[in-house]
Amino acid sequence: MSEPSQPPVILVADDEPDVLELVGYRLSRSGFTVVEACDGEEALARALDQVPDLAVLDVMMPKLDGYELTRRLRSADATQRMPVILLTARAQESDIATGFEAGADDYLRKPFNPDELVARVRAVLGRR
Amino acid sequence: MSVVSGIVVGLVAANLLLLSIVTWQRIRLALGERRLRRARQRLKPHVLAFLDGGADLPAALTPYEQAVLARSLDSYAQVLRGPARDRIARYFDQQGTVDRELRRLRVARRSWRRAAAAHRLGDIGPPRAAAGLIRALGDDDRDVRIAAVRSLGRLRSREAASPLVVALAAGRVPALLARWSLIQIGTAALPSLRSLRGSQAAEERASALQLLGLLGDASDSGAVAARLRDSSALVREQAAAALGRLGSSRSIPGLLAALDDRIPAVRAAAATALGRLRDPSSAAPLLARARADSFDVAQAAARALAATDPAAAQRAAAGNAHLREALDLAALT
Repeated sequence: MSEPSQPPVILVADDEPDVLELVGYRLSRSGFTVVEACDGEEALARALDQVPDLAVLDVMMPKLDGYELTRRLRSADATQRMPVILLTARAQESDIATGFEAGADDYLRKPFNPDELVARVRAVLGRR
Repeated sequence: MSVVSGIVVGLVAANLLLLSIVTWQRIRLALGERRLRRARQRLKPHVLAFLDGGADLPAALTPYEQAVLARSLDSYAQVLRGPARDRIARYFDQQGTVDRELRRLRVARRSWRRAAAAHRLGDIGPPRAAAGLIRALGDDDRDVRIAAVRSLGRLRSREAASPLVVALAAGRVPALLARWSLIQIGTAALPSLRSLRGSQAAEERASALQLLGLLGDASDSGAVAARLRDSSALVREQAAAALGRLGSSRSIPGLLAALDDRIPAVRAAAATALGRLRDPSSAAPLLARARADSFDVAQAAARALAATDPAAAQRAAAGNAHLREALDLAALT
């Protein structure tokens, strides 16, 4: 987790390189330090290693999907209180409920508005 | 040289030729991929800055770089909305891509080309692309119509609401997809849906009422309740279902009257709607239907009663299988 004087560290995990780069770029431009991962396992390893201030996770990722990754983050001591925002193309009520049950703090539907993502990141960080 | 030696030499030569061709193809593919990767890397900072609103895209690009840029923006257009997606639409509009796709949607002889154009317009199109897509709802090919429905939802086109309901009611487009598209359009579709409540075609009235139940609010309940007296049973059924979703207590008298409708599907929909509203005044009529009506209506009434007045349902459950089942279900949820 970042020091109070340092910019918050955000973990971004998505298997689509375009989305990963865009989200990373947008969050960096908004003053956050970004750690990127291109699948669920890499995201878990980075989260446990670097303990970011918040994670933006794609739901449909290879190796470990966003739901399971959120559950594992919630069960690890270092990351159990880390806010998680799910980025998902699956927007049925049941999918959203599954995300919240897994421990997510918020979700954003694809197609998404990058400005809204930044606003939600700030809002979730502000709640903690 | 013997014949056998000649054959062996020929086979070896053919193998070598084949190997050379395969090797050359692999080298060509690898070079192509490297070229694409380099072009994407070169363009990436410009694309990201452009999407972020901070910069124009470079003007002096080779045709190859322009093609790579278009592919990259195509890909982003599928996952973005808001100002970044609007910038992509403006870029493709200025490049003439939108007009080319609209023309392809209109005149291409092969249906898959028209469907591809309809699909792409939903991702990259500006709002003006909606007119062409609405026209495509009347295309002879179902795949083109499906792509047009999907794209009109992506564009959130307000003017598409009525044509979508008409296409839905006529069975020309898949119902689930059309509903998804109308829900994407959201409250902007409400004026069209409200005007279609009085359509001449019963299927259109029924579809409009169903969608009003999903998108409307309590202020719609009076006009929807009036449709409980429609000449079409399909319309009365959808009106009852919509009233359950709209949730206004003012619709209770109309729904109680609909419990006596001569069509079982209307009575069942009215019972389900009353179960959603949970007003104590509906308990006795629901119990009567749960005891004496046909299977589907009795089942719906029993479930509604279990939600409205569990104690009354419990007292009456001894001799009624539907009520026992409804109470068991209520205990599970």
